[in-house]
Amino acid sequence: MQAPSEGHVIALCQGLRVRLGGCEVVRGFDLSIAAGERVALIGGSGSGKTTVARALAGLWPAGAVEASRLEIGGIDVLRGGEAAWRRVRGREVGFAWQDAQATLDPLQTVGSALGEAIALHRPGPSSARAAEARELLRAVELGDDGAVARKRPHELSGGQRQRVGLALALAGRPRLLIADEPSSALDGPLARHLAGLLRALCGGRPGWPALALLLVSHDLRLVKALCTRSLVVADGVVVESGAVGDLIDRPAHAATRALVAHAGFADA
Amino acid sequence: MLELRRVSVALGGKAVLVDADLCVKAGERLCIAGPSGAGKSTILRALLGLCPVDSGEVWVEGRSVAEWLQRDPRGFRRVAQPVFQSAAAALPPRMTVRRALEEPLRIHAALAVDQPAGQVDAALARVALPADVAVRFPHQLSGGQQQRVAIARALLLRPSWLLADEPTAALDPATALEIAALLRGLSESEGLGLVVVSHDPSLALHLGCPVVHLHDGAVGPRGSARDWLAREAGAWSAIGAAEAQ
Repeated sequence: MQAPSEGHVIALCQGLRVRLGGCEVVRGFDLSIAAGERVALIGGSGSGKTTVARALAGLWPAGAVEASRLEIGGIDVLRGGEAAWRRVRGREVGFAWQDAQATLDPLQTVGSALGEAIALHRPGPSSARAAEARELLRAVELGDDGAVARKRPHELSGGQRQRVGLALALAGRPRLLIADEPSSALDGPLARHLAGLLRALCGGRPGWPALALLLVSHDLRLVKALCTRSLVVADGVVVESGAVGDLIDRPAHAATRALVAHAGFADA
Repeated sequence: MLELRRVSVALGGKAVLVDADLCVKAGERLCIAGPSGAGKSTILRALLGLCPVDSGEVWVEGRSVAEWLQRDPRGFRRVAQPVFQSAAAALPPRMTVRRALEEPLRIHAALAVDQPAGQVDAALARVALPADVAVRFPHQLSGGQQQRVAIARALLLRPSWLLADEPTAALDPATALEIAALLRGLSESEGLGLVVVSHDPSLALHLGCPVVHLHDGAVGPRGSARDWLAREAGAWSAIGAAEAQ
């Protein structure tokens, strides 16, 4: 398969429907993300935004998801099934979840977890893996003296754990990062640090492909700092979309207005 | 009045509050802000008598909290009640809402023997919940409903103060706005004093209250929520600006 160029579509879904527990949670959802693009899915609890993100990671049982098209990194995961997803997960698309603690093995050091993730995608000598693990930790601003690599999750602060989760998500050098409420457990300064870090990572690193971002969040301050385009999700469908600044200045839908008021961009 | 007079608290060998002074007048609303680990929750716990202070004094309604708790702990609890971030953790999981709401009344011998149902219904109405919520268990309620029940429970004994620790941090935007409006409404209509700990400037804005920031264990001067929000907005927009350079 040839490598997609800039402007190439990295993720595409059309007519996405997700049915969980007899209830249609996502009811016809279209999304297209270009290489290097930063897009946000915003909405309240139960809107279906996380369900969409998980569908783009192939995390729902086969029968739960329907779509007319679903392609990640040019791979048709709809037809290709689990075998295609295995080629996609981690390699085309990486995931950083809200609860970093839950994604880390409490018994494993950070260095060992990163080494494992790297080996999965690029088997090689352990010295090369260790060097790459150090580079990943540097990329997420966790230093390069190896101190963090020797620690276990409980020895890290919440902000550090979140960045380790990010390093793990990037271990396969994906071209799309899906980040689900990455800052909701962090206070203002830490959330801003993470936002700056994500922007820098999306800005590209030498030797790495351009990184596109799908940010799932209800925090419009984070969305505004990170993304150029945003889709407002309510009740399983997109109710409004556009440039983030326009949505904040002229929210049309009630769900958007609640998000704008909540972020303090307008009075309730 | 709530008062901290030169209060110092160290936790695990680390100084969290250092000669902290604070004064909140009856019926006032105040937001206490600061980054994680600044001592926000510790200040709230000190005011509630839930955290021993190493030095200094905590006064509520002109009485020393330490002494008050020793002599008449129930009397103090009737005056100041907590609301926590996680309502799910604050409500007994195996009690229906009705039993959870009757419990404090029973403990304080304030349950009307002839018609306890009326008291529970009134408590639910106060937080804009329908009466049929009473038969449910906490896990059968949404996060916002759970927080409303926790607030109803805190209000049952008609306290003069609610002290809330990040009461909306676990809620989605629309629900967080509803809870902020509820707290503000209760404070404005009933003269309830409200101290809220939060790192979220928009909560202070929606509560319509001034803000004090914690720095190095001390309480800073009062400022407006709007100024805080503007500073935060500036810090957020600097993220984009740094990249553009």
